[in-house]
Amino acid sequence: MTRTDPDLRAVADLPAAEPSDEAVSRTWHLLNKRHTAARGRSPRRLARLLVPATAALTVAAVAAGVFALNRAGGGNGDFATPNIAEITASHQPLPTAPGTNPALSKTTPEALAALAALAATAEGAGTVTLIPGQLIHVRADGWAAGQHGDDPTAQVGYQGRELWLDPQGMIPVKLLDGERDLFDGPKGRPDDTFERDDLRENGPSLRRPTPEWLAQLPAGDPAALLARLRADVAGNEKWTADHLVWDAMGELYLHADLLLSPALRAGLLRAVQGMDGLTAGEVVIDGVRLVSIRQTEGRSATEILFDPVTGWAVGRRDLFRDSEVTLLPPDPGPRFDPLVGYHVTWTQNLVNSVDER
Amino acid sequence: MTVTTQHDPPAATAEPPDPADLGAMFDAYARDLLRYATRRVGAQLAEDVVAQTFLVAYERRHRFDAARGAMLPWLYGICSNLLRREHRAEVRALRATAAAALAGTTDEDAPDARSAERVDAQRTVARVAAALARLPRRQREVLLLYAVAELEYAEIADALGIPLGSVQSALHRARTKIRSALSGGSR
Repeated sequence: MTRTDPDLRAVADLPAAEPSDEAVSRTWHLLNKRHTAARGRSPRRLARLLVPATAALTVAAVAAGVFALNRAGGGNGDFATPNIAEITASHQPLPTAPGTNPALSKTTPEALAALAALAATAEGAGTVTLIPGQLIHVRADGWAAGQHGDDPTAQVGYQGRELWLDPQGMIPVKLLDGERDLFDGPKGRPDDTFERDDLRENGPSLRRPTPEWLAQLPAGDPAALLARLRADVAGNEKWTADHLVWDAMGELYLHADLLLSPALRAGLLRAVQGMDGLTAGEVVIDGVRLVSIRQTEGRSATEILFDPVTGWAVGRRDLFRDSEVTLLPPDPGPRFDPLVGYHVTWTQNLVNSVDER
Repeated sequence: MTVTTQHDPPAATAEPPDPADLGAMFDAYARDLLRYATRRVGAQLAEDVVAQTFLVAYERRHRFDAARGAMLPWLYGICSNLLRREHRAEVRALRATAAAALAGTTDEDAPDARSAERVDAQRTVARVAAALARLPRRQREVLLLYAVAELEYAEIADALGIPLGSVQSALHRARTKIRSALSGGSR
């Protein structure tokens, strides 16, 4: 307060509650609700794009559901740029109240509610049976920013990938960029000895999971599960454990969401409710609404996108704020609002060889 | 590499947000407006009024001219217009504040100095709240924009769409009444 005259101070000092983070958050959500209503948009739920049979309990549900998002736009039928017109995201205000870890903000009530709802939904999803020798095939449709040298701008462009993973450690055995094998040629990876040695010497972990490791996690005890995940990323001086857990979970979901049992998928969603720095919002891809849970640390934020119909993780986004680098929108490509440095959605299924999709 | 996003909270030193960027505008000014509106109509109504303020601002974003003034006074102007609809709630809240403060002075025989100070402070609150409740709407609006929102005369004139002279006279009259109330000379 800068006005010091007694009468002005007396007026300014009348009792009134200082707006809390919760009040700011509630106001934002009220505004967002009215704004959406004013625009006359009623987001179509992903459910409308899924035939009822896909609610059945197989990997096909993931494939069918998210292929609706990633539908090809022509050209190479196997790996064309998706024909998506618009990708929008709601704003997620960051609370100022510190979390349990003062380096992070307090997780918002909206994020807790969204995670609880996703967990309840995920419990009803199905399971898959992994046959020994099978691989996980992931198709990822991404848009990523690329910067050259000291250029103050970064062009966002399509980045499609196909990945075949050995479930024992989620070790990639084949990686395609369209028809180009990224493990082939002089710049390709010589072999996967390092990953396999690491798995053998250090055992499975959040960063290098196996189906057996996933199965023994304490899915029914959120606190113990979170402690276990945090222990797997301990020892980093730059980032908090919660930021690293969230980042690793994004990778786990990308590689192995379909291997998670309903209990573990729900358990993970309940466990992260104990983390700091989470906010919730939505990302809408041509009218299909996804729940976005964002973890923010400093200028860096990572979102994991969940299908509210199944509770499954279907995408990821990375954001950086206050950067000196300006993003340029993809051309051709969807209209992003806002434009972000990285956005990807994925589909997964089980295959018998690297020649299968 | 790091990249720019439009929807994350701006840094303290960042440029004023683009009124077309609803999220950035909200991040920059929501707390100020909530604080002001809460003071006037209480926390619950304040959230409703402030949400509507940003919605109206967004819809009228093309009318905002940064060359004519800053964004915050413009938002206070919209907020003040919306608060006029809550005139009765505001007066009720002020009277309730005055009554609650008076009720808290019943232990005026308290022996220690701290209790006496507290009783004095509550009497001041009661007098100021009651005086505010009695002020004409325009005078109260101008006074609160000056004392609570800390706008300057010209910003208040812009926000309320009234001449500068009207701001000065309204403020003068309002302050005279508040000073009188503080000295115990007004009812």
